[in-house]
Amino acid sequence: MSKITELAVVVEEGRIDDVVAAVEAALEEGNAPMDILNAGLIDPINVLGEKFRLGEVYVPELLISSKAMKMGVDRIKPLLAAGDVKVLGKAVFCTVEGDMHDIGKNLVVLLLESAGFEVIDLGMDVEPDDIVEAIQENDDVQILGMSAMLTTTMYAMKETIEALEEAGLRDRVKVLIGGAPVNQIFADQIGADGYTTNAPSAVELCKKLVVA
Amino acid sequence: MAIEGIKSYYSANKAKYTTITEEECEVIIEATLEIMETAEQIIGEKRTLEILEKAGCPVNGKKVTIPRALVLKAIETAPSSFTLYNRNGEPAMEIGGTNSYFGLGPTNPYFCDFESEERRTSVSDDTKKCMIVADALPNIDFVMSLSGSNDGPANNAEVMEMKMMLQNTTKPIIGWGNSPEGIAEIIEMCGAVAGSVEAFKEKPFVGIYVGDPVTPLTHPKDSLEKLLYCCENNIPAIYLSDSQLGTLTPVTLAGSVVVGLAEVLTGLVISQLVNEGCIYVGGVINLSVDMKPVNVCYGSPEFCLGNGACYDVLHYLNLPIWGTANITDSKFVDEQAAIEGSMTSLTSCLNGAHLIHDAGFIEGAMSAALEQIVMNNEIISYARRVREGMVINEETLALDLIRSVGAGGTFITEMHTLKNFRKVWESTLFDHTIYDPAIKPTRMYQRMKDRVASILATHKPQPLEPETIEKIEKIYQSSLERISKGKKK
Repeated sequence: MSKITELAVVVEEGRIDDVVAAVEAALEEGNAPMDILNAGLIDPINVLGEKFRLGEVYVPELLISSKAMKMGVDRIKPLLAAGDVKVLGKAVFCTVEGDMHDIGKNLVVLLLESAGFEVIDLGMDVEPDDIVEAIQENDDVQILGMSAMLTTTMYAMKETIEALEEAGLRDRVKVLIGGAPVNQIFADQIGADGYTTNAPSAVELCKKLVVA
Repeated sequence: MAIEGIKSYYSANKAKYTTITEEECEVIIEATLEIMETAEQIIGEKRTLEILEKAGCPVNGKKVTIPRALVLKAIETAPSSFTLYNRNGEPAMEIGGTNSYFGLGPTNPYFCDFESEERRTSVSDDTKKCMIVADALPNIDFVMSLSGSNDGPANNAEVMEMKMMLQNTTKPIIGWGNSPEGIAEIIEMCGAVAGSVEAFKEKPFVGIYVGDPVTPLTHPKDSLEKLLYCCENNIPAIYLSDSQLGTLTPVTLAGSVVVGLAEVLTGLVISQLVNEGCIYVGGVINLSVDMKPVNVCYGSPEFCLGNGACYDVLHYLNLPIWGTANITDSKFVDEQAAIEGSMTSLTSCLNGAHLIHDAGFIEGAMSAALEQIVMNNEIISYARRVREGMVINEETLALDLIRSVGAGGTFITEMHTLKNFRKVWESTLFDHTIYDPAIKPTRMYQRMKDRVASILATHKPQPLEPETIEKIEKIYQSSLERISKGKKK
């Protein structure tokens, strides 16, 4: 087995303790960093993504492999040319004002990053003005993802969209929402561009939104 | 004493069934105390942080650790039992020991419409109907609003819900709050019912579910503000932790239980520091997680086990227990709902949890149905009969009777039978009939619907005096003013 194939197995199995050594072994074998990146790190994640769609793999397995991939990418990054790592898109994520429940948001961020997105994570309990500011400061942001867990905080999403409109930024970003109490009807009501029920489908939606 | 400074009430509060042993309780308690002392918890509210610091908790920014001695003291000073009254001031529930009471779940965004059976946004009239149904059913001991009041403003929905509850049942009520201001208005309403706020506090018929920690180990500002308010004002406070296996807590039950208990005992410490001797009810929900989409599961064996372990530990510590049962993840009042409700009702009641909420809930607490309340009532009745157990004595052994009836005889004409047969559990919903080709059999769901329809048509909860209703309405109107002012700011 070539060292790149071995690395791909390490990533697919989510062996985070072994991944850096596996990247180094692949480098020592004389492989080009780009080949290691594509065949050793990204391919196994795509394989897992397909297995996930088929129901063979669950989210924790996907996440731990993504973590392994990220560690591998970090090791190899200094050896790559600036444009070699393709960024799919750039997004801002947060839970809205008053809401301290961030597990769902964190899952989406992790999966998005492993799918090739750059994510600015504003954290929890973020006021509309701060969200607007983050988008103002980063003019290459294409997606805003907001999450709320409570019926009492979900309306902060509406306020944020209104704040974006006031700031004249609404057309610059696609707004994606999620969280237990929200649904497609609510998304339509508040004028969001997208809603999904779980993290993996949020990633699929983000991919579609940046292409559209 | 197996744990220095803690007396075991495990045997004194020994339920019909326990999930873990006394020794295992001690392992969990030691582990919980260790976590509280060595793992930092986020306290999102300034005054609470100051109170904890003043009491000797090491503070690091917004994070604290809690010394063992403080926890032991709080366990000692918190009441182990209390009485919740009904709206008429009569004792209704003796919370303590292994007494188990069942109630509805709190506010939720959707409701399964009784007529159309469609899922729609919940409104205050749903709360009214839930109260009428719960008021009529003997095994629903206390109520929560079950459905959210989305026909009014969100910022004081809890006040609207309390208004509907107070007017449509005499059973004890557990309310909730958006804010201390909302809780204050609720208490004012209770005062209007009892004659005065003081009279209400003497015989409370309402407790307040102040909110949740954000697991793991984070106590948010709004929950703490409401906890402080209830403790300072001697309103029974309920604080409930949500453990989620493998996402918010360790995937293993023991570790998950420790995280939940650490949060709940932190709430206990805060309550006793604020007002020593005030009533505090803690609970932990242990949810397993379906890791394919990462959805929490209310129905699972782990739910029964994790919750049961917490009930045992809280019994050991002699503290009031908030329990959870009857909730289902199903979108319908169906077979899944029946299985989940049966398992959780039976285990929580055998395990002696005190205030067991969430009857009526479907769809993992996002929706509710009147038919579900009726089904849960039946399940609870069944579970309670199992818990009651059987009596073995001369009268029940009936050896003389066995001899006198003799081989080939019948017991149906015996006085012993006449005297005792009504003690055998009887269902109000099950079909035990023999198949008759002339009669079309019905499904249980249809019988539950018929029962709901009959309750709604005939049951009239005891009304409040017109002047009391007027006072409650006035309080609600000033609550509306309060929130409209808040918006203008």
